[in-house]
Order: sequence, then C-alpha cells, then structure tokens
Amino acid sequence: MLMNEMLEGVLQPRRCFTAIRRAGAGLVLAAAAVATTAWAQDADSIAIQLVEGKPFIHVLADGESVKIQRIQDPNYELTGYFARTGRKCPPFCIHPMHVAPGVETIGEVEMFEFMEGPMRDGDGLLIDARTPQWYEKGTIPGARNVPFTIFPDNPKDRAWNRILSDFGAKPRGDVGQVERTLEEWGLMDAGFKTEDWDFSEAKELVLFCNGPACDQSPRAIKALLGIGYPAEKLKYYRGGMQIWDLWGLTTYIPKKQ
Amino acid sequence: MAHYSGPAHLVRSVSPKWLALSLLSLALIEPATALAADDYLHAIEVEANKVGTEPEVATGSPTTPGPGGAETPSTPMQAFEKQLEDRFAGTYLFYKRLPPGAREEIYRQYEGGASIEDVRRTIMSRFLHTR
Repeated sequence: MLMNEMLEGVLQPRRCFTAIRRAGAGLVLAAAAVATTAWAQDADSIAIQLVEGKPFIHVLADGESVKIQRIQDPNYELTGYFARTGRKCPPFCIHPMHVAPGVETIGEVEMFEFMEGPMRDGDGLLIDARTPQWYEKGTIPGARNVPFTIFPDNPKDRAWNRILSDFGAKPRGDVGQVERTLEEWGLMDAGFKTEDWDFSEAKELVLFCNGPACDQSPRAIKALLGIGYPAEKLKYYRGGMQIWDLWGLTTYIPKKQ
Repeated sequence: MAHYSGPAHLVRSVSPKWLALSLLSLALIEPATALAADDYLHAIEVEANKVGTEPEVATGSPTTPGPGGAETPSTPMQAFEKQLEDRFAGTYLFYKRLPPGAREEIYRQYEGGASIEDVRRTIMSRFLHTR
C-alpha cells in the first residue's frame, strides 16, 4: 500500500512526500525500539549496578566513549597494589575528610553525577593530580592528568597563565583603582575575582589521586586555593584510585602521547 | 650622657654567636623545605614502581580488572636499586661494588625509614671500610 502511494506520488508530489514521511517515521520508531531493547537487555545483565536504576554510564576518554560499570563477579577479590592496607606513614598517612575550608569532599555517587553533568557539558573537569608515572598505569575514565608538581609556588609565575586559562579563568589585566576600591568596599560585586584573575567562568574541578593516604591531590587543591581558585568550584574525591578499584569500577589506561 | 639607640646599636648589642645562628637557620629553611618536597617525590616514585601492569590489556583501553591482577615485575629491593641508579649514579656505582650482604643491609635500612641521604652515607662508609 505504501508503495502504491509512492507510485501515485510520482504524479502527485504531495502524496509522495507524505508517504515518505510515514515510512521515515516508521523506520525511526523501529530503530528506537531496537536500541531500547538492546539497552534493556544489556542493563538486565547488569546485576551489580552503579546505583539503583543506573547500571552503567558512558564518558569520553581520549575521544572515545568508555563505559563505566562495576565488576559483575560477586566472588571477585581485589588484588595488586591498591589491595594493600598500609604504606609507610609518613609520608602516606590517612588524610582527614576535609582537605580545606569550602572544598567539598565527594564520593562515587557524586562522581557519577558530575560525569553525567558538568563534565559532559564541558563545565567541569576531572583532574588526576598524580605524577604522569602513576597516571600512565591507569586512571579514572575521562580524567585529565594535571600533576600537582606543575603548580608554581610563585603566584606571579607565568606558568599560571596557561594552567588557569585551560581551566576557564580569565586574566583581569589592569583593573582601575576605583573599581578595585569599590570591590573591596562591597559596593561592586567582586564575585569570583581576585586582583589578577576572574574565576567567574572557571570550570568546576574534581581532583583525585591514589586514595585517602595520598597527598598529591590535596597539594594540588591547596595550590589552586592559593592562587585564588574559588573553593566552591573545587571538589575532592578522597577515595581516589584505591576506592574506585575497591568498587570494581572501570579504569582506563591512557593512550601514549 | 646621650643614650644612643638605633640599628647599629642593636647589631653591636647582639652576640655574634646568636647572629650567626639566626642567619644559619634562615639559610636552612628553604633548602629543608625543598629537601622535604624532594623526599616526597622520591617516595611516590618508589611506590609507583611497585604498581603492576596488565600486560594483556592494550593501551587506550578501559580495563575492568579480572581476578588475580598482574603483580609488579620487580621486587621492592630492585625498585630501590633502580631509583638509586637513576637519581644517584655515582653512589650506585659504589653500591654495586658492595657484597650482597651489605647491599641487603642497606636496603633494610632504607625500608626501615632512613632518608636517602642517610642511605648514601652508609653506602660510602661501607665501601670505604671494605677496601
């Protein structure tokens, strides 16, 4: 019947287009049904979900989609480096829950929300603050390696320009004394501005390292706070690689540059 | 009699010994901080060498670890020796000339928490006394 309509439509274009639209809509609906069924079947096979109702999520890593899920074997036991219970303290001492005032400490559920929200939208960055030697052995999918060692001690060091610009901050340039005074008096909204930087559009950063006994991401967070990065835009995933591994979550070995 | 006061007077009134100690303390603060940072970097490097890799997993690939993850290919003592070779080549030459028992003793000293500077001193001391 559809074909008849199409044949008739050779002489009657309007009926042809209607037929084509119907056929197209049918194809789209069929494709959606197939995709939904495949997802549902895939999801059905996931007994150990990330959170209830969320069997997995997808993130981009090195330009490709990576599926993050948990190991499905209930008998699996963690082995290897992150299965060890202790290292010399100092320097590998257990860290407090809160790394600095105003910086939120988050867990895995908040990580998933961040990955599907600000990170996916381009408003957030997941930062692996470990040295490259650690990062290359495996990281959380979607994480960018910004080693804590690159942050200069001197706030006037020009290396900050590239780092902060990558994070979405803008240099303020010459700010007039009047404007500065008004900001100091609270008569003009200083927002997320310092003397040298405007962090109003800076990205939300989630930083992590090896786990609760690692100081690499706390050092990075403190360096960023020192340059004026707003604490409200920094988050500390304290669990790091150790707890990420403990939950059997997907890790990613970055491609060599 | 006029009582003179001012910076010159203050300097004259301070004992040279205390002045020297104060200057020495100031001079040591920054190097001590740098040394502490260096020690931490060294510590995390040593730990990184203990991490195993998954040889069957291609790079640029996600991994969901299977049972029995790969162990590190080197022992902790080998990792220590590698660090010594990479960072203190000269000291490492002397270290390699020591008998195995002495090398084991030095590694135990390091494992017990001795700083790399103490270890280097021990290596030189052992080397000189075994000649």
